[in-house]
Amino acid sequence: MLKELTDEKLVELAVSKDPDAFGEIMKRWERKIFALCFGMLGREDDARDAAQETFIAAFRNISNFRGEAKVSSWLHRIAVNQCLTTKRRAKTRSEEFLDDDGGESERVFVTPAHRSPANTTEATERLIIVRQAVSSLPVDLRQVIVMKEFEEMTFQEISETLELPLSTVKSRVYTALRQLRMKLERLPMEIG
Amino acid sequence: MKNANISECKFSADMVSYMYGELSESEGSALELHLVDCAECVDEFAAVSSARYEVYDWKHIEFDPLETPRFEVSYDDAVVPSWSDKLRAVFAQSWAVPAFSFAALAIVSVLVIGLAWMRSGDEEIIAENPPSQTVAVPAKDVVKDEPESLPTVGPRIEVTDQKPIVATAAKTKASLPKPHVAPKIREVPATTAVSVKGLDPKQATAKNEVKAAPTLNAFDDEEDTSLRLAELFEDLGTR
Repeated sequence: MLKELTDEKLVELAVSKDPDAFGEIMKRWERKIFALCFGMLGREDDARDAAQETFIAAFRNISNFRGEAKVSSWLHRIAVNQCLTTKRRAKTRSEEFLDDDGGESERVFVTPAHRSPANTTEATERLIIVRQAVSSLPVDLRQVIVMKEFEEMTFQEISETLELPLSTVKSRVYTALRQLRMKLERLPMEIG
Repeated sequence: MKNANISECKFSADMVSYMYGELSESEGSALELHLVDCAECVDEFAAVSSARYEVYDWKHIEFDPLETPRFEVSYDDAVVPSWSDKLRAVFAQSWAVPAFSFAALAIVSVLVIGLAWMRSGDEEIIAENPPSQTVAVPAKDVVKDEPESLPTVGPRIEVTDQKPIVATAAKTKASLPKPHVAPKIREVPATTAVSVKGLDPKQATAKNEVKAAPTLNAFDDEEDTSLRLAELFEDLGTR
């Protein structure tokens, strides 16, 4: 029965203390939110934590959901904010690490698990570069490219979720890919 | 240059839609026809496509194999009302607004009464105990009394020209505007007091305090005497 309801109706039920309603919302969105967090953060454990925090924050603030925006927009907004918080925390941690490490270069810290490229394959190195390139995109561009590739949303869906004109979404995806191309051409030299 | 040209191309907006298969058939055909003639758009399309492929590849290799984690949101953990929610809930009660208004009024009244009481208390204290005036003792008076107040017992009188003398009583000391210079009493060796014949050491010391200076002229008197004797001998010789 819950499967047939819209997201907005499920939120209403969740507000009225229906324990299964929010579970259904989570079931619908968990893969996409996890994908968004993975694309934004580039690490599985960080993505898992961010997605978990997203759902907790959503549930805590569910009474504040006014219904003016779509549930997908609301969840994406929370998730992106959560990812940014996670990134800030990671940056603070990395700065503390660098301080402790006597100022080791950032390049080495960014991929601490891959300090020995000798035992990694070329494909793995390429993935690291791509991850870094996506991670260095501005948030608005990174968000649309992650929604497009990881969540596999259409331009129309992204437009509705972000409450942006369709042309803006297309333009952002295009700009994101162009910037990515330039970064991918530059990064191997910086990393290598 | 190439980028500037491509941004001006009317097909650049359709390029991403075409790449993701979101163009209608007719729009797609139009773009394909354009790509046949526009080499720059072909290069641009290739570059953007390769970037997209890299992201797709990353997702395919690293994300797709991952199982969706099991997220849990329990009512106990999640339904933690914030302080603003708690406050709102309290004020939502029918009795809350009049009760808090009365409490605020009571607190203000207590504060005002307390302040008034403290002020009246201060005025009473001032009336009972007018502020004491510190009277500075004139330096000359203190100096006058000093010989009597100095210790009369002791082998030496440690009084020099430069050493400041502070008023003997603590209160006087506090009220003195500045230290006074000791009266000009020259230092007398301890033996001097003993050498005074017919006097008790205490009395001798006391005498030294008061009349110490004249005793030091004794040497000059002896010298004078010897001179007078010499004159006497001279007189005798002449006679």
